[in-house]
Amino acid sequence: MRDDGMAAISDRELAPQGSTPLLRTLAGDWLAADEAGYRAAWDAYLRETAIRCLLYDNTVAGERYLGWNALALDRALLARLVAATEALGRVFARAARAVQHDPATLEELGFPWAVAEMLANEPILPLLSPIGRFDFLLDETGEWRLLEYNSDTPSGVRETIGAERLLHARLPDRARFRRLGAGLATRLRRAFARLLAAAPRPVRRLGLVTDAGYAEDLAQLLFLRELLRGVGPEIVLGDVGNLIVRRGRVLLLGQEVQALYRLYPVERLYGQAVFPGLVEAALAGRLLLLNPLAALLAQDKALLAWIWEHREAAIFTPAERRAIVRHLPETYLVTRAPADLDRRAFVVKEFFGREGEEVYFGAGVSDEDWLRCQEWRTFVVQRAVVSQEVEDVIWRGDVLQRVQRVPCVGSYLADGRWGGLYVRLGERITTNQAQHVGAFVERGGGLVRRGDRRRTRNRPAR
Amino acid sequence: MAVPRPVRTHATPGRTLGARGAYRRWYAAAGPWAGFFRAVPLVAVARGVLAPRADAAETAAADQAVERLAATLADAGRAEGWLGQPEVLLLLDLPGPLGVSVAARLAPAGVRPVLLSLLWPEPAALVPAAALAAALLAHAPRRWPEGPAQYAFLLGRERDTPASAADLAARFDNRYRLGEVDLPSPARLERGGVGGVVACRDGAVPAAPDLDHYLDVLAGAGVPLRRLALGARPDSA
Repeated sequence: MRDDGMAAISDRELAPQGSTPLLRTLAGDWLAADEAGYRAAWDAYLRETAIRCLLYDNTVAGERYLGWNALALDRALLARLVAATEALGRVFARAARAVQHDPATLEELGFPWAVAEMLANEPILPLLSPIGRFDFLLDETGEWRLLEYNSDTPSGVRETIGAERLLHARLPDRARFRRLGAGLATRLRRAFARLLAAAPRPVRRLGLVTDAGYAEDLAQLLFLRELLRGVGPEIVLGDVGNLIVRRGRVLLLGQEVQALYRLYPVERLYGQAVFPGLVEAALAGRLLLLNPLAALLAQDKALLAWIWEHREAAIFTPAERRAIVRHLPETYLVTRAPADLDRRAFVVKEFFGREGEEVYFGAGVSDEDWLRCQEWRTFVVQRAVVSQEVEDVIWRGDVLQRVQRVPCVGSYLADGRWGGLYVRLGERITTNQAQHVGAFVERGGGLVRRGDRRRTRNRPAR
Repeated sequence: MAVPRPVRTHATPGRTLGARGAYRRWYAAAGPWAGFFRAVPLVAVARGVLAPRADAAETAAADQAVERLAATLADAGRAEGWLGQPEVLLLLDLPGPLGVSVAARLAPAGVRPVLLSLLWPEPAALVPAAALAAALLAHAPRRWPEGPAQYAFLLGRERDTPASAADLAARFDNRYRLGEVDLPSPARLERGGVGGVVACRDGAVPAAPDLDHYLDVLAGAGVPLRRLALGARPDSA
């Protein structure tokens, strides 16, 4: 039995059974039952999440980002998602390690020569970041399909740990559902604790750094700081401008840190004066980079193409090979795409694009743009996934509208284990206009009862 | 010249308005623009991170500045015909506590505040937030009668305070910039019934680059725009 409330998953459960499983959301029923109550609950939810979860940025461009809605999964669908997440976690870690010491391949995957050299010499641990997030769509056949892996600086922890808890607590029918992010805080603390304990030198002070000028990033880091209190070292939080390296020592707000977690894209840090000093300190073992350069490699969409190309290779175990074929859509470097590839069935993505940036449906890419992408070389083509859609409720002006939207299901991996979901409902390409909703599973057979969990608490994690 | 009479915006005497209560009031005041509302200092107070503090000497000086600025603004608004007009959006890019107080003085003219402050108060941060928090508690808007109102975004000019390398080495950098999603786009303004924008700032300090950029976007989209540098000769666009 696992320690996260999931029963052991049989091979039979891992394949879609019988009729195609459907995703469904709950807001439609809540709205139909009591529109005035629905509005009041949503307003209160925004206020409470601002204060209690540091989600004071809960609107985007004036529209509500936190939705009063939840995605409900059945047990089998969730079990397959958990299995996919953990299997792909192993796949990406293995792939990143395989490529990390191969400068020629790294350059083909979009890394400048200098960074490729740094990657090749990076310490073995940490393997990847303490937390990563796989973004999936559920396709029309009921199979989870991976869009990308956010392993460098994944967001959404406030929503999954904090907002989802408030949402669930306020539901009139909460007894029917179990929320899925309940274990993420523990998982995350454990991941940090394990990495810090394995540092080459004792970590007396942990630095958390971001661009504090961005409200969302700062709020996420403030939330993380609260989560990590008690994990061990003293925590110092600062803006990236507060970070300096002096005589080989890394100082944040004037205090030396022995470990650093950044919520700041490494590709932006690369251009800054402090970057070489940080890498030098890491290579010399004076600083533990909790999200190492390899985390960006794992996030590189070109690595998806590399994994697809090596899907039959012996580097992966048979179970991992099956997971690749089952969950990873066919993906190629744009420079290696088959000559007869019908790009109308594919999506073109930039290697390091974040939050839906530089993602184009092939049908909308002209011959000229296609050639340009091939010349630039920093794009992959990935077979488009036709996703199931679910109902959402959006608030426009003073009107509540029911709309059909695509659920992008982010699945967290922390400490090598599945940790919860971060679900956004939006358009076919998920952008910052999408709306976050909670993630629940229907209670029923197969879930661990409270007493069972108590009895298994002291067993070692799988 | 006549300044709009101050309204009693404080909580009822004898009752202390807490950060949560103030947050609710500021949120409600933002009306249809609540999607742009941000009250980060109040979040910090509610979480026990920040203790509001208004220095008495500073308060006396600030009161004079409030009187002067509110009078100047009201004069300009009346002379140019935009004060109290719901179809004109005001942007007050003044130091946080000052902007809050000025907005309170403009309330009798039908002006409702939309607070947009992302100032997080770490200990010994570059930009102090205690005075702003005190102003937000003291001037938490009371319930407004239903009906059209003129809205004023309060931006907090201190977000772009200059800092030296020595400052950055030792003090948390809590400055911030307003991005394209933080303020209403031209299309959103049109949907909100806004036909023009008046942007007011203190003429003694340079215009903030982020606001300047936003105003350029509005001007480029053909939104009628008035740039008002208070205390200096107004320039218009």
